[in-house]
Amino acid sequence: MGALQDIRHHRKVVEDTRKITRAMYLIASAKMKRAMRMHDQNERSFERTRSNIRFILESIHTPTSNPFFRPHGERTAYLVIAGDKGLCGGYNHEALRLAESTIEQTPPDKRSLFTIGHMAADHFIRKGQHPDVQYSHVIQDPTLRNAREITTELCYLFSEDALDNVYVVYTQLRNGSILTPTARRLLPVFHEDFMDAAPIETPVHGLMYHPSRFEALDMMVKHYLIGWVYSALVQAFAAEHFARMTAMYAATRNADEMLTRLNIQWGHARQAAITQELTEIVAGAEGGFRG
Amino acid sequence: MSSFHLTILTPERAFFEGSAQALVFPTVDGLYGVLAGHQPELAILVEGQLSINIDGVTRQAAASDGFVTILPESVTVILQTVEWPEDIDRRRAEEARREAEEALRQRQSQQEFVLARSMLARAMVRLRVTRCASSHEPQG
Repeated sequence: MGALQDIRHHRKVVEDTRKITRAMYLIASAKMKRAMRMHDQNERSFERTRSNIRFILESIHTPTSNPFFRPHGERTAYLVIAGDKGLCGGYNHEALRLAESTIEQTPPDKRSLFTIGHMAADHFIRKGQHPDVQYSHVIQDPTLRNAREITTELCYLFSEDALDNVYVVYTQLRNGSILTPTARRLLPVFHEDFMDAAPIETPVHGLMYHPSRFEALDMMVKHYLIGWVYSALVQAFAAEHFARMTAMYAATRNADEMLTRLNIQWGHARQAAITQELTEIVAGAEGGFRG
Repeated sequence: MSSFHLTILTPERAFFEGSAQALVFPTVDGLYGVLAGHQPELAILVEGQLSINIDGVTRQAAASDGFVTILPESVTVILQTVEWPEDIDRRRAEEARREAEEALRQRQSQQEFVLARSMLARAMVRLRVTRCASSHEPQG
C-alpha cells in the first residue's frame, strides 16, 4: 500500500506546483499584452515627433543650438534595465551580461551607473560596482510619468555638463517572440538618428514656425527623449513578461507530463495491489479446500 | 464652417481623432487659433487650455506642453498629457489613490513574490524528498 500512497503524495505536490506556475503564466501573459499595447500607442506619437525633427533638421543648414546635439567628452552614464524578480528564464542574465561588457568600454573613473530593477542593482553590487543611482520599482510600473522623471534627470545631468554620453541597456522584444538585449545611445542625439523617420508631406512654400524653429526643435527633442525612454521601459517590461510567460508555460507543461506519468504509475500500482490481493484470496481459498 | 482633420496624441493614447472646425491653443505669446485652410506651420504649445470646436460645440481640455503641426490636410497635436474637464477630478483623485496603492502594492508584490517563490521552493523540496524516499524503499 505504501507505493500507492507515495505516488498519490507525489501527484499532489506536482499539482500544487503546477497551480503556481500556471497562475504566473497567466499573469505574465496579461502583463505582456498590456505592455505591447502601450508600446504601439507610444510608437505613434514618437514616430510623428521624429518626422518633425527630421523636417526641421533638414531645413536648417547651420549646426543646431540644441544642447542635446552637442557631442563632447568621454564621461558616460549607463542606464541598465533588468527585472525586479527572477523566474523568467535567461532574461535578467542576458541583459546583465551585455550590460557588463558594455560598461567596460568606458574606464571606471569616467563611467557612472544607473539601474532600474532590483536584479540589475544587486548584480552590480555583488560585482563590487555600486550603482550611482537606483530606480526601484519603476520596472513594475512603466508609466509615462516614471519615464519623464528619469529622462528629466538624465537630461539635467547632461545639460549641466556632468555627463557626456548616456547609453541604455535593455531587452527588446522583436517580432513578439525574440528577446534581444541591446545597448543604445540616448544622448547626445545626432542628425542621423532622425534620417530614417518618415518624411512629412510639406507644402511647397515650407512651414512657418511659431515662435521659432529652434524653440520648436527644443520642444520636440524633449518629447523625443521622453518617448525614447518610455519606449525602452515598456519594451523591457514586455520582454521580461514574455520571458516569464515562456518559462512558466514550459514548467506547466512539464508538470502535465509528470502528472500523466504518475497517473499511469498509480494505475499500475493499484492494479498490482488488487491482483496481489486476489491471488492471496484465491490461494487462501484453494488451501481451504485442500485442507 | 469647413472642417479639418485633427489628431491629438500623447505617448499613452490617442486623445482625439476626427474632424474639427476650430482649434485654439495657448502659446508663449497668447492664444492661437486654427481654422480649416490655415497656413502650414509648426507651433509650440505651452501648458494651458485647448479649445476644440467639433460640429459647432466647443469643448475645453487641459493640456501639457507640446507642439502642433499644421499641414494643409491635417492638424496634429502631440503632447504629454491632455484631459477633458470631466475626467480631471476623477483622474487626479485616482492618481493619488493609485500612488498610495502603488507604494503599498510594490511592497506587497515583492512580498507575494517572495511568498510564491518560497512556496515553489517548498514544493520542489517535497518533490525531491518524495522521490528519494520512493527510490530507497520501492515497496511499502
